Amino acid sequence: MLEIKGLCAGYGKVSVIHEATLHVAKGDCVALLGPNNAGKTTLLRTISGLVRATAGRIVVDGDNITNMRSSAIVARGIIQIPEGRHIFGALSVEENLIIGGSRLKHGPRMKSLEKLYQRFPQLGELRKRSAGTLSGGQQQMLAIGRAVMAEPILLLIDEPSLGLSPVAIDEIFAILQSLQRTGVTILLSEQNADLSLNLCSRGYVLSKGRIVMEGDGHTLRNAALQDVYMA
Amino acid sequence: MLLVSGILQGIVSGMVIAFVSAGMTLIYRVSHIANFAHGSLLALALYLTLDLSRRFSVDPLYLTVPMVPIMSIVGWTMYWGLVRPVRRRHHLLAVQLLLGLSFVVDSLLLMRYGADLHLVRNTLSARFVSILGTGFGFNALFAWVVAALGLSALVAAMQFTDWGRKFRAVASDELAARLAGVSVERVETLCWMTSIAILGLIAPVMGSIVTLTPDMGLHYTVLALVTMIVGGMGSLVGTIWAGVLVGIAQSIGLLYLPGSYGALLPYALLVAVLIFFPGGIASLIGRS
Repeated sequence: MLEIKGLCAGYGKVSVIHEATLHVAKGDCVALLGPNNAGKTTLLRTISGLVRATAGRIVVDGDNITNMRSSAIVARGIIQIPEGRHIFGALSVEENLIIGGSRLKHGPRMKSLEKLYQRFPQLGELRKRSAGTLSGGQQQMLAIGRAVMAEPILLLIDEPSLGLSPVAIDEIFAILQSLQRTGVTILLSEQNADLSLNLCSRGYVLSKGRIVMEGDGHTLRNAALQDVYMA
Repeated sequence: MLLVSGILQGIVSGMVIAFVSAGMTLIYRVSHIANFAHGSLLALALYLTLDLSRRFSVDPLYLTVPMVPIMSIVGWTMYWGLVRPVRRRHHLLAVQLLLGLSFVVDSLLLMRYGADLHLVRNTLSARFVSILGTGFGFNALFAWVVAALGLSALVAAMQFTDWGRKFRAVASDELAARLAGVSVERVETLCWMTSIAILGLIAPVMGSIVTLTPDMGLHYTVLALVTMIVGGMGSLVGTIWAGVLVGIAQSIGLLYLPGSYGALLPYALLVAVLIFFPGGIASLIGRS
């Protein structure tokens, strides 16, 4: 589904990602682990077309999407849930969701909204509320709902646990697990390795912009991972 | 009685000020730039109306039809030619460019039309009606109607249309809007086109109620800026209230204060708002 080969990317003259190579199979959930400043967010933003790739290729379902406009990438169903949630605080919950479904035509969008309310009754109850007044956990749920509205084929999720209470984190990861069961392919960036390896079968470890390790959950859980975080 | 007529006149002229400032407010919300050429573009639209109506000897009011698309093309050109190329640079660069543009426009108007004062007469000129003992020109009332309808349409579009929702999404969080597949460039383009087209919509009727001078641009830029700040920097509803308030301040000032002190009242209003309600009218009515 997602193939990244020798990807380099950065901001202006500062390069952040160095020759990253990774792949995510269809229906799989892959974790992107690493400490703060490892380049996880930059990597996801490069996939979404927000940061320019200076070398390498990003291929989704056989199509090269490297450096495409972000709206064209979204149109293919590659949807990102950004770090820090980034909900539209001035808009209502429902408006947030409708904007999330921008890539769909009006009819399917409304159908998608209906389905979403069935799946997340909590968002249905909050539909008229101004999104800025929601709690952190509710906002994260809204951010996920907004992405689901676009009927994603590939979901890029950036630090969903950031700044949430332990209870809210459990709730969010339960939602992500149910999403994964519906067959959505997920690339999940997370500082918390334990949490993400419960959800994902495989993972990559990013450190200082390079992929330094890859493997299944078991391999990544052992001591070697500690070294990367400690370094 | 004098007070009532002052307030009425203020409400009438204030709505036009609000309509002109609304464009500046929209631009500020999505491009985060104060359009310092706004007044000069209004002057350009006014002089173009004058020129076209003389050249083709048509009633200026009919010129609304070509002026709206002409000014929207000007808006498109400003975004793609001036603002967009410098968007990653320091934001003051765009402000400098816009201020520069306003001087260029003002100078071109002076070169082309000279320093004489002009008034664009139309079929409604020299007709008056009395409301609550206050005399109003037909044109002033017609301008009020155009501005009020235009602003209502704008507020409704913002709230209920797909475009309005996308606009508010971009204004609220540009990154998230991009990640939802909204083309921020398209929203910004449409915003610049609409905002400048407003000037083309109001210019044909406005030309008969204000005197055209080549240096009027800066005056209207400052007036629109005052209105935008009093309204609360980016709130459309706030801008409407602020426009009316600025209009009232202008007419009351002219009626009650000696000589040219009257013209200072809108700025006194600005200072008072900045001291007592720094969030502007938007913070008072709870709208963003």
